[in-house]
Amino acid sequence: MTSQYAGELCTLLVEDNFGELFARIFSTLVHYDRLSFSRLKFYSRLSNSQLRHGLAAMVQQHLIYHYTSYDDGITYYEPNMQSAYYLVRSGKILEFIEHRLGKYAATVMSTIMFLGHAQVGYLETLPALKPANSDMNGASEDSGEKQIAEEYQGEEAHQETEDQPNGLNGNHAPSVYPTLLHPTLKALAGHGYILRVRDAQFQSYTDNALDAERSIKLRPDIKALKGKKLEDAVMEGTLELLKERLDGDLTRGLMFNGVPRGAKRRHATGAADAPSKKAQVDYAAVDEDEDGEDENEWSDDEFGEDTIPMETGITIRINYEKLDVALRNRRFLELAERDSSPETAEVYDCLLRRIEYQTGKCRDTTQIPREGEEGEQYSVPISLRAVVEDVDLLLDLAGSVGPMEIFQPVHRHGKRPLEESVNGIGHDGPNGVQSDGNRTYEVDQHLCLLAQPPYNLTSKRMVSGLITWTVEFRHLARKLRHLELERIIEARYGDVALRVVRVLHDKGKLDEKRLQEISLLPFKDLRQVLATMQTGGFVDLQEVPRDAQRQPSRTIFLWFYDPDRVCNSVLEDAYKAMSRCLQRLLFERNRLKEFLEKTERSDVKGNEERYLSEAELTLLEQWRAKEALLLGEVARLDEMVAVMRDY
Amino acid sequence: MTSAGSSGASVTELASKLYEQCLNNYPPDQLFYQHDLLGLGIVPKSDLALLLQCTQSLVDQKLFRLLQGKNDRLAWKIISREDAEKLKNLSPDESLVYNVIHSTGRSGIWVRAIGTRTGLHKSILDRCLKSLEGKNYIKSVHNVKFPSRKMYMLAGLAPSEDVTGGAWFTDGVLDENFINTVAGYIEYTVSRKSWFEAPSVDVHRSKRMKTNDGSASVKQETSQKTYIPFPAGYRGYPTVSMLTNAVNESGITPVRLGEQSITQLLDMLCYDNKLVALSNGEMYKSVKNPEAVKQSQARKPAGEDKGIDDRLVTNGMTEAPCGSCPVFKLCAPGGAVSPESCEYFDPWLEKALGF
Amino acid sequence: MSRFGAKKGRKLPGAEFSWDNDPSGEADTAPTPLYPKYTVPTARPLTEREKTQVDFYRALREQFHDGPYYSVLDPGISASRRTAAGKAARQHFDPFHGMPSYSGKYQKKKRGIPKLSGRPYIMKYFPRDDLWEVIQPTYKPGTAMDGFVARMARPPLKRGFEDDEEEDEDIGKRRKTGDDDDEGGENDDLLEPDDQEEEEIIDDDFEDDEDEMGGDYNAEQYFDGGDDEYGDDGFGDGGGGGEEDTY
Repeated sequence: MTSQYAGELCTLLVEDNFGELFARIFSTLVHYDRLSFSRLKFYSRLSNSQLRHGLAAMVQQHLIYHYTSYDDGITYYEPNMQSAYYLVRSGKILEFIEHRLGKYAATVMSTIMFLGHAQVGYLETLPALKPANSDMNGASEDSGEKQIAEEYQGEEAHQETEDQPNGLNGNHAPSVYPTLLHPTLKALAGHGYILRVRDAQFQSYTDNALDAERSIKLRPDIKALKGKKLEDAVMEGTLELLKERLDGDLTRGLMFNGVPRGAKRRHATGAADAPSKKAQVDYAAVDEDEDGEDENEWSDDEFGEDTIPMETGITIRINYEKLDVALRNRRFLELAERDSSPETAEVYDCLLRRIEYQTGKCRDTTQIPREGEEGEQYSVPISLRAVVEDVDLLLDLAGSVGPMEIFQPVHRHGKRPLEESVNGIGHDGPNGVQSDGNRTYEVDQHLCLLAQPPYNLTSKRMVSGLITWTVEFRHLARKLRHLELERIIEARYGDVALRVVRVLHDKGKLDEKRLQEISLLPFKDLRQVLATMQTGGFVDLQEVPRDAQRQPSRTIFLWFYDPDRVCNSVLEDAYKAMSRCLQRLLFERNRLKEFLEKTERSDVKGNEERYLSEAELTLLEQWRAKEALLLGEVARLDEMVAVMRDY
Repeated sequence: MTSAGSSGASVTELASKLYEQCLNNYPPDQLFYQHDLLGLGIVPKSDLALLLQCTQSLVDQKLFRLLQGKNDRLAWKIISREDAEKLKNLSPDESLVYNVIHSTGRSGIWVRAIGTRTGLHKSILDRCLKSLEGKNYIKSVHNVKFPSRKMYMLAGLAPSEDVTGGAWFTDGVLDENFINTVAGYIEYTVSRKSWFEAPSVDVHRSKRMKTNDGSASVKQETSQKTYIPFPAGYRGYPTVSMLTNAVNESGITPVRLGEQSITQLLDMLCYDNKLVALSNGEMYKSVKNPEAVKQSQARKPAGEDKGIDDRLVTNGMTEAPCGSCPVFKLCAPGGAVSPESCEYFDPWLEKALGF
Repeated sequence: MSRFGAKKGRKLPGAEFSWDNDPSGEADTAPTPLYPKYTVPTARPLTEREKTQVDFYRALREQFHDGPYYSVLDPGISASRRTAAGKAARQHFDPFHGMPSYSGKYQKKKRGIPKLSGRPYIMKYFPRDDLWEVIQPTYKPGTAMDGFVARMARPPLKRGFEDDEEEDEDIGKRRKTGDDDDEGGENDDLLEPDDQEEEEIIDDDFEDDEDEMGGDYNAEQYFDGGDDEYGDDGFGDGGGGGEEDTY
């Protein structure tokens, strides 16, 4: 993440979001990596107050790390590339939150992003987070408000909300109306999408590690050790201490049977047309109440403690690691959607969601391990029962899997009490009542389908006699990576190249003859494609001389494909391409600078129809489409970066 | 055959007995040493001299071929009567050449190698080869590895895969059209057995199924029929032998293809992401359903300009103007090639947005 | 892509000057164009989901732009009030668009320096010597802050952050005033007005000599202050020593 192009990109992102001052500070730090205030001032050529204010704001936004040295007491600043990079993912994250937890949750998330980190108590004061349809005096006359009010009356006593619109006034008038804020924060915390801010998060990982090591070494029990034992103990202690210091997990106590409180059910129960529409984006009940008519219902009443608001003193920020897990699951699901029926994909979604709740981050290692050195990493096993519970009852599971044997209506494994028609769909349709066992079997069958090659999206595990399902993360992450590379190869060099690369990947190093036999390609095509791919850096040639003279005629040439290396260079290219798109966007904006400034005028904004001419409106629309496309392209490239760096 | 005195007749007799015994009890490739032949108990008292007389007589009749076995010991192989007939009609030179060619079996032999091994002059050798070829005893073959070398082998033999490169080579050149025809046929055949064709009732229902961005519903919407997958553990997918038979019966191949060749092709299809091998290649399943296979195959000959393959959709890199930009490496802000002066962004934006 | 899509889409610089175009067989010695012809790929139209994502990104970005932190280096007229940036602003004055105009009052104002006031900061997350003075103007270097939370432009507020469980333990240990946060800050202000001035002078010195940093800094005091204030057990969640540097 410290390459030239990554630095360039992060600086651009900082500039795009926060302006030139931040960008100047950031790029100076990217350039010099670690600077004291005075050196930073020197190199950035900023005034004292620019720099001090800038730095303070950037610390607030987690864009830089700071560390005050033990030795000289001087504070050093470093760029926080990770945080800066995640600026590009904000749209994706907010869209995901909206999809998962509703519009209001997305607003809360974006407010937290806007603030960098914030105390719950401060969030309470923000007008932006008050329910949209409430008026500022806290009256709850209108109907929507009332409904929520009724559901939350129990909470009022605990809630101390400041209703000052500007958030600056410290009067403590208890709010008259309840707010969605606390349940939403709890849901976000329960899902792990936000975490508690810890002091150590403001220092870089290296600084934290060194600090932790130092403290461990000072411990008397460690001091007594020697040699290898000492090393091991220090290592272990350091990691433990680091984990403890950086840990901002908020999910504890907010999970119930592996599901966060406030998590909506995957499906809306009771509605007849449920399978045909996208699951509701609002919260649905987590309880087992199948008759809940109101999908919007909050279920918190069931758990006494959940009506307790979040502690106002907790400082929270976005948990990007966890969101990467969720976004990665989304990619897995997309993989399933490509080849499987929508029903199977939906079952997979249920499994993945259960897994997401209990997965904190994508990987244990900071770097993606090299191919072949990567161990297996299975997700938590999710019991089949749990998945069955989550799958929409109205989803027609049986109709989307063919029969085990054609033309022989048999009872599979004797488990099915119903006769099947020849076509395997003769039994209970969407509206029929299905027995539990049957349902379990069907869900299992869909999960089995997913476990098949080529993707092996799931794997079955027996845990103390119970069927559970897991996902092998590393295998799938690798699959995603390879797919991205293969897409590039196919697009650049054609399907012949793709075949060649897949052969090489599967078989290792091969000479031309063997390669031809397996790929069944004419020599001419084969050589041409290998040569162009070599130029592009996708395949490479190893020379194995057969004698000391190393004459070409006495040399064996072996072709090979090293996905690790290709990945790294593609990753750099992706950073660079993202930068170029952003730079172009800047350039395009400058082309239209006068016009865009006009549209941003406070009188024009929001009243475009009134102030702008027809032509100007068209121009504005075109500009927005252009900007969306370029930003969308950046987001698509980010998708690749995620696959190659984060998943 | 005119060996001394009284033993003459018996040598011939013994010899033919010996030949019969070898022919009937041993495979045609068996190498016989002296003690093997004595062990047959035909030559009385293990009389070595007598045995040698017998074998010599058989060699003269072209029924035995004299060879040098291990440790320079003498050894013999039997020759079928038919071949013996042929050989009897050859001149000594021709016979010599024939034997050399014969010795290389299905691999064939390079003309120059025959020359060195027989020690014959080139013109004589050429004449011999011509005459043998004329009698249809030998044929010239094409070796994929050494396309420029003139090689010969016995007319009755099929060249080994080393020589031909396998069933997929015609005259030493990879027969792309043939491969594509058979591969297409196989993919479709596998596909038909890989998907369950649900009755049309399902179409309606499946269409209503929620999908993500519509991406997953392509299958349902583009085809009349609805195909659904078989459950895991389904055993009805085609095997190599089933497919080999199907290909050979289909009439698309002029020669009978072996299972090995078909496996080769199946592997290739797997590398193309078209098929998936199940249980270690015991069975094969197609990735696309028959309808989709038909569509993509129909599109193929349509030309160079076919759209993006639906399997591997593009990603951020391939569709960005930078993705395959020829001067990407030179590009730097403020440089001669720069994002500001880039000439590719405008057409790119225009292409996608239409203005 | 077709087989060998490479042929179509990806030409090396100069590849379009094929020998065939030139029957005389003479090599074309024209310089390679900066932008050789190349068929740009077609981008898929954005999906609904992607559009939503982009809109979220733009909305957040706009929030940042309208927020207190967005600052430009040459803020022009809007920032010319600031003396520090004034000189530069005059130099780069744009005679066409720089003049104040009626519609200018609607023009988006641009900041030259992030505005830090208007929201609370949690002091312990910031490096003390360099930044406390900007997020909490009442802070005097060398004095111990009572609360960690600085709230600016905001009247004293008793309710709130010092109740944070993380800081509960610290309340008892507070050295000087033992009062609550913001008020404590202001008390400092009243008690040590000299420090404020001194600090400002030092601040000015920075402009000329960046290496003479830290005139206000006293390493020993730094550590003493830290230790006294929080002791080894520091924050309940701190996990022991080694954290002093973060205050």
